[in-house]
Amino acid sequence: MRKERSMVNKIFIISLCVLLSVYSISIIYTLFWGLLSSFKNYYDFMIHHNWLGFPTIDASEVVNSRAEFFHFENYRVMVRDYYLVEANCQTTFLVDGEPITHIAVGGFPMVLVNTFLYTVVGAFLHTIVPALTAYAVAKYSNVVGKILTGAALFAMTTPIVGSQASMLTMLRNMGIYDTFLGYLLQKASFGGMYYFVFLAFYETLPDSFSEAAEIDGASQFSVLIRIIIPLSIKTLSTVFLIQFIASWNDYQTAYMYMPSHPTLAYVVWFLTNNNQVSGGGDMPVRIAASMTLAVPILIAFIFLKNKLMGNVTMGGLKQ
Amino acid sequence: MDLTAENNRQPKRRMNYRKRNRNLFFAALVAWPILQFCICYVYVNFNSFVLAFKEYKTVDGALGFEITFAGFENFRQAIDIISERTYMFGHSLKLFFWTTIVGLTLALLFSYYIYKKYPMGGLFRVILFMPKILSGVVFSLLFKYLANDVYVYVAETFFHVEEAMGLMDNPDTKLGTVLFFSVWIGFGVNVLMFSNGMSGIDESIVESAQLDGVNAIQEFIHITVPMIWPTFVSFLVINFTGLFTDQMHLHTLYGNNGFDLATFGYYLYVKSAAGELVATGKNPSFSVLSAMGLMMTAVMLPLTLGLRKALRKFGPSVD
Repeated sequence: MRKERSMVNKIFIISLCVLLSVYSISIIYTLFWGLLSSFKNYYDFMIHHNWLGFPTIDASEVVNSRAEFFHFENYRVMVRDYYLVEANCQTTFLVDGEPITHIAVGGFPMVLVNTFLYTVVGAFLHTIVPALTAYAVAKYSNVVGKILTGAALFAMTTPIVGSQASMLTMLRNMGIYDTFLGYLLQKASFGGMYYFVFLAFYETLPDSFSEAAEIDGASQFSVLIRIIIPLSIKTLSTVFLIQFIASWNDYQTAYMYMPSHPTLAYVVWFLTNNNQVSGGGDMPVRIAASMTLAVPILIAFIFLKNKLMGNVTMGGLKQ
Repeated sequence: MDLTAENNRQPKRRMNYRKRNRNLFFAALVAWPILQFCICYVYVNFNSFVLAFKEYKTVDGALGFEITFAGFENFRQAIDIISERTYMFGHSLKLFFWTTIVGLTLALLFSYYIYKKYPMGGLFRVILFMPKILSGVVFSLLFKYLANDVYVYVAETFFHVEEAMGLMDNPDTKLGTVLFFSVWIGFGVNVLMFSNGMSGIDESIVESAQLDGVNAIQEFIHITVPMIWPTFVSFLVINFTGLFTDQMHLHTLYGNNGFDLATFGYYLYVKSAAGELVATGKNPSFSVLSAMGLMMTAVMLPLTLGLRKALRKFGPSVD
């Protein structure tokens, strides 16, 4: 009986281990293949079909020089040819029946500015608004707070389909479609999972510190800035990090609501799906573009994986 | 002047002053979230409802739209679109089946492996989370090349297949490949939440079951799954609410050319991004898209509530 049980356990564990190993290899190999391919030049990859090997540096071919390999040529081409992407990043829409056209400007440096605004400012707003709302609801427990929590729960669990058309109509009527203001208006929302994470945190935070400060004459604002925010900085920074990564990776919001303000993720998606762009027809250039998106996050993940993976639970953040 | 009465009044005044300050501060903190929620959720969804009953027409030789009450005309057009593309139901349901039934079941098994601290569990946990951290654009680009170009090369060179077709180009394999991709990169948060949840299971229950002679499979089915059931139900319901909004990563993988594999989510996203208040070319008007969304919401709301109730009622329990 015991022998049989031990055999079943072994088979079960080994099967799972094999399945997980295959999965892990597939993920690691895909990323490694991508990194390797981003260093191959057009001839090596597309003409000689060196799909699986290391980059071949054949000095007899003019285009395949050693210098080119070491200078990250594909990455340089991606930045150089960005104007071809830019020419396609435009939108024409009707406002009161009048066609209005927005065209991307500013070249690749503008992509970096857009990415900064999109990720850092977007993530900051999507962190601080839920945090302050949750603080207000937890500290000043009243009917308004209960209504806000109920609204957040309702919005999270009610499947409303196809509101994009209505959102676009509203933004165009307000004159903020395809602007950062329109994007930030959507981002500065209190709802979503992290509102409940903050709520759980502030509800368990003892009142003694803030009460002592209030007795000493500190204003509500001072209590928030000098006591509450420093106490919750760990939770705030974790949520900010998660939101930052989500914004960094998201191209669909930019595609839908800010088509003439491309971010790095949007550029990579554009290169992936448009063969007419010269750099886009060259697979290693496209792969290099995707690596520019992946490598910074991968490095951040290596250093911050415990913070990112250890803190999130369904009900709240483990401190 | 009665000094005693004045002294009694002072603390009361101070209390009133503090109370007013607290109320003002609370109002300042929640004013923006309430306004944002009213604009971006309440108004947008209300406007979506109103749009579904409106018809916009451009006015010849003048700016502006002529707006009329459309009755159920937009709904009729939406039904026509759906009946021409009934395969979208099939694709949405297949996606739900694969990502939920297969994906979540595998996630439970993987989480069990990690929770039991079997060999390399920590490493597998990090790798399973990686696709969540890196952009879907990166993985889709690399996967696309591997499943198409590299697959053809390998099939022709090593397996001598004549005129091999890429897995994502071949009509017989493309749906399966995209479904596989959705499951492949979808483990991250599920595994993290499940394994975190499992770590809270009372060890004494597990130990007493082991003394009774249960093997690993029995422990998984009769103890672990019932204990983690509420978290599983939450994920199942969240996945289910996305039945008509999930895109199966089609936009990332195929851009605007994935209509033969379209789910409802993909159709609504692409058509909204390209759409206008009036129908243009092959794009239905925003009113028709809103009507379609409204019908999907009417179907999804009772189904989601019913599913949640049924899962809570008929879920497994620890024997």
